[in-house]
Amino acid sequence: MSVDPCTNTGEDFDALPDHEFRARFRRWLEQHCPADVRRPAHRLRGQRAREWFRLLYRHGWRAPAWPREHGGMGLSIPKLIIYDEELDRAQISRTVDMGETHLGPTLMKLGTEEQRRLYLPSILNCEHWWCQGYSEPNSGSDLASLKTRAEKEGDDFIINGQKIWSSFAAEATHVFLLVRTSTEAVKQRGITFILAEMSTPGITVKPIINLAGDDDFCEVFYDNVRVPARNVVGRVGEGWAVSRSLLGMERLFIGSPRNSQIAMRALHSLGEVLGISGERAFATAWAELSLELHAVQCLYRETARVLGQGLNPENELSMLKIAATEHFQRVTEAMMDLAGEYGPIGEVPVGSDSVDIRQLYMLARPATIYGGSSEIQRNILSRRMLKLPND
Amino acid sequence: MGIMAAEASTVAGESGRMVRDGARGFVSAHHSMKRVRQVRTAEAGYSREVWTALAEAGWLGLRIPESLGGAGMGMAEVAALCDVFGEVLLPEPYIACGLIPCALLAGCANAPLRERLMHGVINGQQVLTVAWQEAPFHFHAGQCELTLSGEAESLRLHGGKRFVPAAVNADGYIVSVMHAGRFALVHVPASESASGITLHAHRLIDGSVCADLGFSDVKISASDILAEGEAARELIESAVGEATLAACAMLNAVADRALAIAVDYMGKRVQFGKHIGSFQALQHRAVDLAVRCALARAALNRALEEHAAGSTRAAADLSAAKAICSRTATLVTRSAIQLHGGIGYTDECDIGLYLKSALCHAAWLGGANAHGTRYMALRSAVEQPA
Ligand SMILES: Cc1cc2nc3c(=O)[nH]c(=O)nc-3n(C[C@H](O)[C@H](O)[C@H](O)COP(=O)(O)OP(=O)(O)OC[C@H]3O[C@@H](n4cnc5c(N)ncnc54)[C@H](O)[C@@H]3O)c2cc1C
Repeated sequence: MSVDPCTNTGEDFDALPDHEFRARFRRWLEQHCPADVRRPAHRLRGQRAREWFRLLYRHGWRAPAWPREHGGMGLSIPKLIIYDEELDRAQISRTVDMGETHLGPTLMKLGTEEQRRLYLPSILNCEHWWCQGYSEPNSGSDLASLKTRAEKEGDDFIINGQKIWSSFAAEATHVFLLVRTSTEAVKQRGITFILAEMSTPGITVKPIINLAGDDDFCEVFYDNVRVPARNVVGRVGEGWAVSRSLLGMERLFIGSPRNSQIAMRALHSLGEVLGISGERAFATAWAELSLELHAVQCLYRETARVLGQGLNPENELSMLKIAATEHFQRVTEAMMDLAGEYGPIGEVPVGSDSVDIRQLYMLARPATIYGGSSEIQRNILSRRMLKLPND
Repeated sequence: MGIMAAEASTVAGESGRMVRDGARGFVSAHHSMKRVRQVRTAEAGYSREVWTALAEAGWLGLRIPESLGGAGMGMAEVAALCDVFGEVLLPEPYIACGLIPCALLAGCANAPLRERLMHGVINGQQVLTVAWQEAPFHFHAGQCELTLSGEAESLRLHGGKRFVPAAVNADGYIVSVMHAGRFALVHVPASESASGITLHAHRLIDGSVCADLGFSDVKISASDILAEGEAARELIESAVGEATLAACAMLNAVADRALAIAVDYMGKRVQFGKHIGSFQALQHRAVDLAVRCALARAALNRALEEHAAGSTRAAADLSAAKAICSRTATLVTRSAIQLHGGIGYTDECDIGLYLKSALCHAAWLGGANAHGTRYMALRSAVEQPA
């Protein structure tokens, strides 16, 4: 594949010794990272997120996990961990890029040559910005019961139905979604993974305000939406497996201790700024949460390493998702608890920036709901890992 | 209404039931969940109109002696009232601008000032809020540093107070001060704002508003001193103590109602062809929350009893109750969100409003940590046989 001229430089970063790689990325971040991207407790979205990714791209630092043949950095697991650590050290804001983390890897695995050529470069240069359309009003945890239909008509599929909770759909240019193309005895069959442009006639997006007051997620209505059959990824009727191939990676991504680290740093700053670091309640909470974070980080590294060996540590991924998200929540709860009157007010100035306690607290709430809720993960683990009877 | 009929476990008996019925009538006539969202953009964080209605229905003077124009009821009835206000998240600051200022006026020695203000407060014409806190994590209402200087005709107030509830659009403040080395409470009319009162408002997560007040050489009339010395200190400590009990009642109501809403949802939402309420993992979680609610209610009832009896353990039990009720309400409401799934994370769904209310009431008047610490310090009083 030809590499876009304004792109990832094509340099083989993975060949560098670890310390050199770390030093280079650190230096680059120090020199190039704009101040408004260094607000770890905030989420970068929309145009600003795209600009940031483009900057990474221009200098060769985009898509660290993608193979170089697809325009990524081709980093192996130890380097990926360094990459993450440096982002964290530089206090880079959190971002969501479903194209990079979800769709890209799926297309590399299961897409057609044409799909890869059409979509991968546009993900890298942010011309395309993807959202995920899986959940429906009556199909959340029980995703396989989804009812949005796609009927074959000539060379096209006609999609009708409703999706909900599609994150950042209002700013996305494209959506990858799961639709029902046939009704089978087993509900996981007859589901198809398909790609659509958000500007296609018949798609209506209605943002939903969440508890943090943001309009991140949306309802998306599909009314006779015509999509070419070549947009199907994998085989028709086998979209469930296509979407599952994705979930392994998504789980490492959302099982990452990154949010917890960000919250811990915010908690630490709060302790200093509010002058409560020395108090027993603070010290006790801090010690407990630090130990737990250490354990989560250890499991994360270990799981990442196993993934890097090409294995599928699915139980560890589920455990990590539970442990990391619940730890993240506990940190924000401690923050709310320890900040006294400042908790419900929210914003506490820290240096030239601020920590928004209530924003972090609210952001942490759904982490145990999306990406397979904590309850669903526990159900899976009790059967798959502990082999408990299911009668 | 809570999971277990709140009526059954109240200590107020018949009068509590009457208060509750009356308050429910008031609420259904003047309030809806829509208002909880609307007040988030209202400057004061509540509706002055509903405040007036609340006053006209007689609720503000519930705890005022009949001789002073109130209903002469006790804290058990106040708790019953807060139970009803809490379960519907009534935004009007009953505790901050009703219960506390009324207690201060009713108990103060300055009869002419009381005559001048009490009527307006009870009938809702005058909204007073009490400014005693000067720093975060501080909940000893009988201690302050703000100084009232000068004497008689040249009294001047200079300094600040923090986190004053419902301060925006208030008609006046009752401010704790140190005057000539003695603790005192003074009334500061807000109309004087032209002459040196500044107000920095904070919108809290539940939509209510508190403010940091700054006084810059504000002239105070000697006739506006409510009380001085030990009497003033005892007065405000007692009023804030009662407010803390009332806040516990709010927290319990918020928790009970949030659990009831979640349990109701679990009986309606279907996934995997079953009501999610039939999944044992969720059943156990809900039961655990119900246990927490029962414990919190019992802790408050005990604190109310000891308070009514004026026992030596009243202060310890009050702190225990505030710590327990704060922890319980935040736990129950955030768990209720989890039990709802994605819909629970939307602003449109009421359950999030309960979480936000719980967070505010939990942090107000001393949070779980502060009261937990205080309970440990006071516990020796509890352990002595009565
Ligand atoms: C912030 C956020 C962003 C999201 N982004 C996206 C997105 O971009 N694209 C997308 O497609 N979806 C997205 N989702 C949807 C998410 O995947 C669903 O919310 C999730 O699958 C849960 O489904 P639900 O909300 O319908 O809850 P439900 O499935 O109704 O669950 C309600 C409760 O019941 C529990 N429960 C359900 N079944 C069981 C069981 N068998 N045993 C025990 N407990 C059970 C759940 O754990 C939960 O506590 C997002 C959700 C959130 C909150």
